[in-house]
Amino acid sequence: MKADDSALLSGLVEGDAAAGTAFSDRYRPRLLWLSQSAGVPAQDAEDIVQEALTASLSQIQRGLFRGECSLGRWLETILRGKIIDYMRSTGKVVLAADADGDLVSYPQKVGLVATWHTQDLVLTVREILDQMPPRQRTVLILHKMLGLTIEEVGAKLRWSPGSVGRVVSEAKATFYEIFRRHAKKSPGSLDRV
Amino acid sequence: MKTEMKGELVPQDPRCVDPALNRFLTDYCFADLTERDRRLFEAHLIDCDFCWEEVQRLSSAVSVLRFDKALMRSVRPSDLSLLLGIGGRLGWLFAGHARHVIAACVLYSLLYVVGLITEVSYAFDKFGGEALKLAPLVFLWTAATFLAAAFLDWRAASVGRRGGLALSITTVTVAAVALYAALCFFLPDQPITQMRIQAYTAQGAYLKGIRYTLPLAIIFFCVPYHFVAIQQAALRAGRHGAVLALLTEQKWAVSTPGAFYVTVRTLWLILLAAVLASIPMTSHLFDNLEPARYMNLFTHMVQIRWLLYFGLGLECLAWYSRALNDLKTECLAVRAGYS
Repeated sequence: MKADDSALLSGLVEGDAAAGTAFSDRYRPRLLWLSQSAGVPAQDAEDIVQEALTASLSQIQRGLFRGECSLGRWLETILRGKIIDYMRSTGKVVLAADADGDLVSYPQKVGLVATWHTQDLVLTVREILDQMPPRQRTVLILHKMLGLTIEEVGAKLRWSPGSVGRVVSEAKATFYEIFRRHAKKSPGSLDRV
Repeated sequence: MKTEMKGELVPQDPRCVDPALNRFLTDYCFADLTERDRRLFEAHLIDCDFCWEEVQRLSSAVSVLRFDKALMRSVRPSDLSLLLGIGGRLGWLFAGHARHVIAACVLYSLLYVVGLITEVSYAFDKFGGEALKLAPLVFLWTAATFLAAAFLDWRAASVGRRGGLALSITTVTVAAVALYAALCFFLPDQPITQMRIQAYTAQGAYLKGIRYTLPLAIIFFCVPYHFVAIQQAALRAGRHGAVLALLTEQKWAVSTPGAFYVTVRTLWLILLAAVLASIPMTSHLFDNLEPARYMNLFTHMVQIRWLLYFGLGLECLAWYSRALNDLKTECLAVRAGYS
């Protein structure tokens, strides 16, 4: 467990209001993010996160969190349980069991949720694509924007799926690298809306 | 007090708390992680301020990439040309024409081998054994020098150096002359083929064979191959308009220095003329043969040589026709945009 986690947990166990606020401020946005990326609508995600935070706070205060794993891992497990309960209640997802017999969580929607983007961000992404090597740019667009599978891209370019996969990996790394350079140059302009 | 406490309790870490998991960051934002890795990383995300910030920002950029269809404009026609077209294959071995080069190389080398056996076939009992021993060496020498010629031309074209055609023609010519010089130590300087008319000496007849074979290689292989490689280089440089104008024989089109554009039609006419000329020449040869023990072998070898000769011409023509078509297709596709 991290040192700052220990300080925070001590405060929570003692019932310190400031620690409670810090706990909520720190983890609420992340849990909301995870809920929404799991496909929970924004209006329901707030409730699910609130339930997860309340449950976790209660368990911490009862000494049920013993630090056997990281706080993040523990919170993620509680949140996942809440999301699965939610999915069950709405009947939106057919759940299956994984190798450990646990219910498999939710379908991943990260990056698939359309959001409003600032003009700056759109321009930045265009610039990033412009700066990428043509091979990587085209393969990334075919695969990630047009949604072609690796095999479909391979068939179009007459490349083996292995080659396409390799270029896609390189393209993602390049995209992130250029993105980071942009972020350093103009901090704040690339923040999520 | 609260702010101070909050600051003490939750310090912002400027670095990832677990670099082993940080490698999942890009794949997570692009939704490419396995279920197991995703769960690991999401738990990490709750703990790690650095990755949390990065994921928030990068995933919004990925979201733009996924949903802003206007970004398709970022794919330029030249990008697609580079990936899909013949221009993008300039960097491949022999500019992407390895199969053609190898096929032409085998046919061309066999012509020299068959020529050698043909010229001694009338006295096969005397020279046949030695000729068969020399045949693999003749084949290897001719094939190696032919491949070297194609390689040099391709390298010159791909680095934008002029003189690739001169290099390839010089290589095959010098190789043929050197081969002839070496074979003069084996081939007798008197006629072997028995004819009613004055026959060539074995050395003279082999040289005559080279006189026919070498121009075929130069006209049907070296010149078209060089032209196509140079046009591929032009496409890679984005000169699609100039290449299209040249291929469609526009009056204002300017040929690249050192690259001669011989149309497929011209090559067909040359090949047809050669076929027509070869018919009476072969008949004349056969009409004047003196019957002998190995006459059957000789006539077979002559016909095999004939097939190899025109086989080489046809192979080169078929390839050239297809390559010009690919060049035009790419030019037209780029001109029309990437529809």
